[in-house]
Amino acid sequence: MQALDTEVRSFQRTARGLQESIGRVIVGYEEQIRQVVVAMLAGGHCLIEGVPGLGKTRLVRTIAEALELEFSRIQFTPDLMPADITGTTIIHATDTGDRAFRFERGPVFANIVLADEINRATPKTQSALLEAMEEQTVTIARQTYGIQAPFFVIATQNPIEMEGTYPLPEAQLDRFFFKIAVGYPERDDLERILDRTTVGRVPKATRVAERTEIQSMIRLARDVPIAGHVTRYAVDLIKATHPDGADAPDITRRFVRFGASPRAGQALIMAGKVTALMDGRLNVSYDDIREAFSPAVRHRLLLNFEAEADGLTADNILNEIAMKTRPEGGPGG
Amino acid sequence: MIPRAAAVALWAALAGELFGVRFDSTAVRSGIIAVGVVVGVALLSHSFMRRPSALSAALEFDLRLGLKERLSTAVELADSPGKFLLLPSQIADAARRAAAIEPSRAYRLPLPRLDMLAALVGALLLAAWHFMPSQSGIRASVTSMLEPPVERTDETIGGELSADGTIPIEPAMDRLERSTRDRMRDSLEQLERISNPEAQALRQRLADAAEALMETRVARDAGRRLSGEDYPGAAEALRELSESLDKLNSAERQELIEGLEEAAAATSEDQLLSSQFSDAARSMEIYQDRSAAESIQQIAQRIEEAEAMLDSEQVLQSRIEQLQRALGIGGTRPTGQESGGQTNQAKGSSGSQDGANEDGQGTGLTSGAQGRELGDLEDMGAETRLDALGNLEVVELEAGQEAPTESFERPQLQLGRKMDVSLNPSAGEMGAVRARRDSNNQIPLDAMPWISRYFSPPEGQ
Repeated sequence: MQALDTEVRSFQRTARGLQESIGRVIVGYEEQIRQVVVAMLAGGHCLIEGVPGLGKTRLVRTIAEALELEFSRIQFTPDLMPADITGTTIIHATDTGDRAFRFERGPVFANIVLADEINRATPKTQSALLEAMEEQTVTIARQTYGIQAPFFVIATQNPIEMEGTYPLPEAQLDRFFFKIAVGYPERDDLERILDRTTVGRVPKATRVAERTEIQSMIRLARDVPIAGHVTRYAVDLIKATHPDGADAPDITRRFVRFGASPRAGQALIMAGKVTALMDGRLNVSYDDIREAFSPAVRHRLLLNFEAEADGLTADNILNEIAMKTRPEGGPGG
Repeated sequence: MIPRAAAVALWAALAGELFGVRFDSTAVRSGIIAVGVVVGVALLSHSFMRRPSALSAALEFDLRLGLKERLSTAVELADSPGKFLLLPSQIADAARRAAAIEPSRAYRLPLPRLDMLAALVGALLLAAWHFMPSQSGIRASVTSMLEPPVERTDETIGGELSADGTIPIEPAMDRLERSTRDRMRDSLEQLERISNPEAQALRQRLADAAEALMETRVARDAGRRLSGEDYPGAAEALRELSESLDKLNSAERQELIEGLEEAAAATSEDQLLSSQFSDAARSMEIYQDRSAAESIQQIAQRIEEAEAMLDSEQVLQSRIEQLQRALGIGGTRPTGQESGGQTNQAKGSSGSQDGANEDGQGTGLTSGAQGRELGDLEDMGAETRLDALGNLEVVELEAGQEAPTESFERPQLQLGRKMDVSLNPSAGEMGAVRARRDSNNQIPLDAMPWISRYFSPPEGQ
């Protein structure tokens, strides 16, 4: 138990150090940084959405800098092919002069893969990441290649309303642990950004953890106890997004076409566990679940035309659900 | 839950008191109180049976103390230690937090203010109700408000409002009178059942014996008292006589013997009394004064015993007569004298007597009229048709004379705005008395003037 306590304290210290390290480079966006860290320590992938120029790519690069992990960046463009991501088999000459096939690994073979502007590629290319994201393997010409753990895909995308974008397929979206929305910075943050990025010396993130430590942190998070009533609260939240569910609130019935999948529930629980550990707690609370609800579910919710016509977003609906779903023994959301 | 249960019970007790007054029923009062107590006990039992579980309590502490589900997680997962690697540390952490909690300080039981207020107000009202004077103040006002309402006269007598907003009194009075008469007949039957027919005979025998005794010098005083129904005085006079028998001279003795023998003969229907008079006379004849004195004292005692029975019978007969008068039934029993025999009253003797008082004074109209049969009524003057109580005997008028029956309209009393009393005062003057007693004999007193006028004596009488 002593060793575990030490491990817990180490987890908390590393997570906090990671956030601080990133925060030294990225001004503002504390919530988004925290969400990225939570997703990574839960072993999940992130989709960061925001208009160009908000520092999404820089955020991911800073995370990679803070962790001693292999990093690769894929710039998604309309002419990007799946093989450009996964790699391809080429013929090469051996030392003996023979010719043989050899698999040339693509950029997906890294610990942190930055899929920059993922929605600029065609769905076919986007889907090249499906197997890697779910199973951490790549299959080429009937040959399956494993990707070294930990494996994180951190994708950025521009809002789909922008020209030259292809919406991600639902199956692809569902594989992202969190979808993190990056908005415009506040006035003070913007001023600090300008100050920090227009001088000669740009701050860099310090390394706070290396690969094995990250892996042990991911394992430790899975051992955080969660009580049945907290799990039931997560289930209630997920069920409330199902428009044909008996307990669905009116807003769900009216505006939602498809609700959250079981993967969303898994994300809620895992995010809750990581959040608890980051906060120095050894159990998952209702607040942990509630905090993860929007980032874990917003990209899994498919709204209908009426919602779009009324200008409703997934976050509007999720906030309403969170407010109306009452946990056991609690006062309500 | 305790304040709520108390509030329910107290308010039920108060409601029981008030409804008990409203319905004038102890059963209603007890029933409501019992229901309230049962509900209160049920609430208490329910709260005890549904005590919060350990998990519920832990959840409540988590919520109130901001423990982020630490306690509830530990409580819930304590039985499955192998499920999570970090569970022992979590339980230790929760225990550490729990040890720092002072439940009484950290978790104050919420006071249900509304329930407490309801219980307090209920208790105060109940106490006020019990300790307030019952005959005055607020309690009297509340009681008067809650008591069952007295039925309105027009509702009691029934009848529908006519178009002009009036209620014809005659049908209503008929119904009211029929109901009253039925009750009076019942009462009369009961009184007649308990009446003792021997009492009057005894009174008569004592009166006859009194006449015999008054013929003697030595027993005249006793005879007078007996005749005046002063039974205690007569008994005392006879006792004095029994003590002075040895002082009588022969003439007085002989008078007394004869008086006693006459009294024995007069009371022959009462075997005991007659034998006592005979024994006294016989003992006097053979100078057995002691034996004679004993017989006379027995007579005195017998007179005293008769007094109680005769007094109660007198009251009974008085009531019977009142009822008979009210019902218009001919007196089938001769009325007696009032207690003490001081005030004579007319005898209603089934029409065989003329209604004069025994002592010849007074007209005897009241009971005499009651006791008359049809034939007597025909001879009656108009003034005799109204008794002293204002009861009215309405007679039908013989048709064929100057005022035929068909033209006779009975007065229509009306309630309401139109007090139109239309009378035909001449009708009574022309008709001959022939018929029956009016069923509406309880006309209000304010109608008496025109009734008198209506039944004024015919001209020429």
